[in-house]
Amino acid sequence: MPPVALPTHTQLMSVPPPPAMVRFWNPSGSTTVAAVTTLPRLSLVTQPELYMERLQVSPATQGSVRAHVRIGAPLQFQAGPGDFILDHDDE
Amino acid sequence: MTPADWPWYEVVEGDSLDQGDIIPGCLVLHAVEGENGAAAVADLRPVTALVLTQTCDLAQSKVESVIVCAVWPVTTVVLQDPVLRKEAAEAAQRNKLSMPAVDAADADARITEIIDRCKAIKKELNAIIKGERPPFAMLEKHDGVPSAALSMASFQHVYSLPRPVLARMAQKASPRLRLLPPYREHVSQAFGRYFSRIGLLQDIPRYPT
Repeated sequence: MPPVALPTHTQLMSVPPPPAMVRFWNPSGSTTVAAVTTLPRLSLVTQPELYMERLQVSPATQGSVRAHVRIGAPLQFQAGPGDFILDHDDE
Repeated sequence: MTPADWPWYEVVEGDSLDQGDIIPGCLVLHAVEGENGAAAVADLRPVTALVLTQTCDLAQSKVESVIVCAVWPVTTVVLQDPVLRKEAAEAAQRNKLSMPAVDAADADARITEIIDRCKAIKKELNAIIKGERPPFAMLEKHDGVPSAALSMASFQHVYSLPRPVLARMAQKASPRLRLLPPYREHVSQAFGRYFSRIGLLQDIPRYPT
């Protein structure tokens, strides 16, 4: 069975361990059953847009992909330790 | 020619890419350590991105990926960095002011008022403006359209994106700002300096002050 292309609005609700079937549906309510091969292989379609929202890759299972979907919030600023040096000498 | 003849930015539209382009709402892959420590977890996070790849490389299509760094308004930096936030909160309390939420409509004005009453933060921001803090470069505000607050580029948050993807994001973000010379080269030089610092094993003793 050929790999399934996932559109950007597809929600991945759960990922059971292989072998498995995975069901996808989008926020508008329509359902799409994606038949996944016994090897948990999800193909990410190369398009001029980034689709995946969160990707966890374990080196021990190279060649297969377990995907956890999480909506990414805007990146929060964080400096390294000691990057800001506050001088209170004049106060 | 006078300094007024040398603005920081021009306003551009479309999907062309130059070093110094500032692209809001740019999705980057931000990788962190996974829960078990063995796996990397990558989230797609929106940032305001500053293009660092050189214009000549972009123009001649020498690169498939474009290097960008993240940019934050100074207001956001003060509110989200624990060290600066603590200092600002203490200054606010001393002066009977309140700290705004990062997404408050008047956050800029209120944080500016707090910074104005906090010598330590003013000295630190001035040090960044003068280039004395290698991980950061300050970007002047833009009062025209599109407007931009005084912002800080962080060379600690560097990402790589496929060129067509970034071009598409640039198109969507139009109209947008593009750093002009010599400010573009000023920031580019700061970026290069950050990654070429050398820690001397036998440093020269400083004069005591």
